[in-house]
Amino acid sequence: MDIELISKKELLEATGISYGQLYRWKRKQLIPEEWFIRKSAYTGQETFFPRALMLARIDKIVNMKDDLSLDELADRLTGQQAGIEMRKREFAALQLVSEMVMKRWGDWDNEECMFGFQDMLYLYTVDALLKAGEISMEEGDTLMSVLRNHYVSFKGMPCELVLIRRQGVASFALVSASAELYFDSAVKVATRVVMADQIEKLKEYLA
Amino acid sequence: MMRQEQQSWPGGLPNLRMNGVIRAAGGFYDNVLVDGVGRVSGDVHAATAARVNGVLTVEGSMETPELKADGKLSIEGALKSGILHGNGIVKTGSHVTADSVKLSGILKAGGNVEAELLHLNGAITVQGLLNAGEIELGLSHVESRAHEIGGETIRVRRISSNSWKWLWKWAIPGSETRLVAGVIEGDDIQLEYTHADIVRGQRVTIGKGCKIGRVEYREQLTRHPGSEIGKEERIYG
Repeated sequence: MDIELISKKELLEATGISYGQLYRWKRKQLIPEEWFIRKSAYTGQETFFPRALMLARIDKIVNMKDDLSLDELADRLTGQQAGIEMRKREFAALQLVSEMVMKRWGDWDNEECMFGFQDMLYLYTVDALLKAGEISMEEGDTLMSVLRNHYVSFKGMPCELVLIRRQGVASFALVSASAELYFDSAVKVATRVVMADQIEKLKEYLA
Repeated sequence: MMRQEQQSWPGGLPNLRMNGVIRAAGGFYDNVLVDGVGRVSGDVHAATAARVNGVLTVEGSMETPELKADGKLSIEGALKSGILHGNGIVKTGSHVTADSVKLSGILKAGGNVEAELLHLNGAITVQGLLNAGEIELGLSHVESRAHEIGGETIRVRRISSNSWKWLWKWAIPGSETRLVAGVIEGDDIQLEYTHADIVRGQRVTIGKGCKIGRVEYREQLTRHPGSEIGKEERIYG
């Protein structure tokens, strides 16, 4: 369940950007520090990036940099999620999550009450797993309580959601990003969700 | 001779003025002005500017839009400043973030250094990554070190060694005036008296006194006969 990596050299070849641009974007925090993964290679130390995330990010920066300044771009891409809030009614109208999910877990009394970004993130994540057929509604309850109780402990640091099954019984865990986990052979890792990806996707829909 | 003044502006922040030998508390100030020997406990924020003449030790981090330091400034935490200009020694325990750094003397950072522009004459020691748009290093006296250097333009040269060189050599044996780095990556790279494992860039000039393990370049490589390159490779991409 390793994340596919791309070396810095490959990345520059694939995207046609220069070292200078890469360092500039890093300074402007368009590319998060955690994506710079240092590993030793035969030529000495090399830097690697999570392939899919990095290619998507570079593509976005290259396409948007003509219209926006780098600072605006930084806000757009990595801006504080805390600022994003929405009324329940507005969020439901976007139809990002199914009605069923909204009913079961988004059950605040008032249609006008505000959803914080995290509330929306939890709903969105549970909904995504349900839609993918990874979990049942009952397991959704467990997942929801895991997210509500423990996601905040990461204080915005990157983390991943791991779903394991032992003889069909599901357990959820939140672990810090790129942590390596090993289980006994009876345990099957059903899915691993990078929370940063969910945040990205959700932000894009909300923007 | 001790005087610490905290003037309060109506509705604004106080100034921190330190004259003589003094210890003050950190916090939020409008201006921070130090003449003499000072010590600040905790983090200090200046809303307008900070000016240090003499010796200042900050037992925490420092944040200011403008910092002028003449003398010795030691910061145990991180330094965040728009402009950092000065003469003398600036030492931090953690990261340095600035727009523009212009310094004659020594910069020692316990973490990374990030700036849009970094002009330094003297010596620099960076434990982590030195990342700046325009890096110009004029090496003199002691050895400079950086774990990694990255940026758009990177220019390293040795400024004419002065007549006191023999004294430095005697005082700090084994210390040549040069830059030692692990990896140097940039668009335009011009180096002199640099020892590096890997140099990667678009246009690379390896000048005299250089010892580079491996050079990877895209467009152009110019090398001085008095330099040593282990392996050179042109990358097409």
